[in-house]
Amino acid sequence: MSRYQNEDMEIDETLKELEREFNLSFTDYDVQYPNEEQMMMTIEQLRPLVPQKKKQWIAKKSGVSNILKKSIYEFFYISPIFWSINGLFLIIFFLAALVGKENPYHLMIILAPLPMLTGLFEVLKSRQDGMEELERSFLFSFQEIILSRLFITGAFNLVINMILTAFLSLVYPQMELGKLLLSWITPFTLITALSFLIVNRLRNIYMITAWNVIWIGCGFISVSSFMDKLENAPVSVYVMIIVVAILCILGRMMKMYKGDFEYEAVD
Amino acid sequence: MKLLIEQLTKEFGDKKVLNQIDLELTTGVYGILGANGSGKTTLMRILASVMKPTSGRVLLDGEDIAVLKEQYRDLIGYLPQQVGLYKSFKAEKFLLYIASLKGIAKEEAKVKVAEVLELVGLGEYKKEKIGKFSGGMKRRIGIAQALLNDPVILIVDEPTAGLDPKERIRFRNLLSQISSNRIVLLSTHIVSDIEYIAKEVLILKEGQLVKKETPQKLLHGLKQKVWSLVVQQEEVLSFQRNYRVSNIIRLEEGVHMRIIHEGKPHSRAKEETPNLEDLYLYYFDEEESG
Repeated sequence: MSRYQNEDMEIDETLKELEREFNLSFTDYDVQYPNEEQMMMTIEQLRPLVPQKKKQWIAKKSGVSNILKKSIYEFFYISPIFWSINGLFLIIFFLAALVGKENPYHLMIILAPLPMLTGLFEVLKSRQDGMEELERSFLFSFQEIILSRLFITGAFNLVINMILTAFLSLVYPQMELGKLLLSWITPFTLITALSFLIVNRLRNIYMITAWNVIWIGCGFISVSSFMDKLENAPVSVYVMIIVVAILCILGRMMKMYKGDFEYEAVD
Repeated sequence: MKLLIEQLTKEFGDKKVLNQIDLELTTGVYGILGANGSGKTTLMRILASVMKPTSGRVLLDGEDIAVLKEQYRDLIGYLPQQVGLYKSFKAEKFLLYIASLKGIAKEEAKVKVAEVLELVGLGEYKKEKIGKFSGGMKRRIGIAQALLNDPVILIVDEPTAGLDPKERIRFRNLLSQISSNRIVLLSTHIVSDIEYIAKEVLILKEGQLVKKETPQKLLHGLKQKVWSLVVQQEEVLSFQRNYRVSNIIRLEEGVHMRIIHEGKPHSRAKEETPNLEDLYLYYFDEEESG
């Protein structure tokens, strides 16, 4: 063996020794894979710091129950004018159906959304009476107050429509129940969706007045041929309108609930 | 209890209505003085959680009121500058309705409504429609609703605007009476409203907090700046042009003028004890006349 070969071997040995030492020194930094118990302990310790989805759900649920609870209170503070106007509409309906022998489907189309339409004055009374700013400072959020008013108006409208459906079914046994239901569910959902839009975006009392006048006016002066066309429209059209309107209502409700309802006044 | 306002800014488009307000409030009455458009109402609205700030935050005992939400709103009573009230409601019914919006249980609400109606001196008018009330009575109903939930933070914006002197005094006494153990924020441009009841006076000018001091310290700062002088009628215009004149009284021997000026305006001028009206004029005269 030459001298150079010996030196090479010595260097190799030294390098191997160094590598061994190097590896050994790294064992100090080895992280042991934790066992199941240690993992569970860590999870338990960190659990209080993690926002819980369950709590969010409880908060949302309490928000919804707030709205329902508030709706019951709102019922007792609705203006007598609202009840009177809707009472008057009912009398006109009964007279038109029983005495005037008007087409009951047409009557349902016109009357079905009227409580909701007239109820918009109640829903937006805060702005009309200069109470909006104050109501935004209360425990119930302004969104909850508005939603509860919409809810009570909508529920009242629904009850009235169901009573009228029952009444017409009794008076006119030959009527098709499905057609009768569609003739009020369609305008009701459509007007409710538009009401949400008015409440969300326009919040203008003149807009509501105009909307009421247009609906009632069009309803009473519409020529019967137009109403006949409307009445005989395919079921799929009715269903499509209902589905779109319901989706709009749900979308608006979610948006309102999440707080998309900024106060606009400036100093 | 401590309300901490940190770097509060509110912008409407390009206009900065509040500009980086820093403030610490503890129990007691705070009077907010400022000219129209100084940002008083915006500050009150943010504190009443009616409006959100563009930046900055408000902390109640270390917790952000934007996070506390209804927990915070449960603690406040607010009387906005302009409140319409439901005029077709009778006083008692109106307060019961407000109590329901404040989440007060029905039985408790009846007791609280009777209590606050007595406190504001409207007990005998509880069955009267609000629409028939005078301006002063409406303001009192306003303060009654603010007190329904026994708030620890009471925010009243220009409560005496439009009231006659008798109603103003009555209102001031009422506020003084209810202010113990609460943070009371009272915004006004009528200085006599806060002269005797405010623990500290906050001066807002163009959206910035210019001063926050006790009335005594603020008035001390006006030492050797308030003067009185009797001049001849023909000199009045010249003095009005050159100095801030806070008061003019015509006397037999001439015209008595109260002048606010950094130095002695005339050799005959005598130094006067400053009051908060002088202070208001000192800070806002140029702004209002300009």
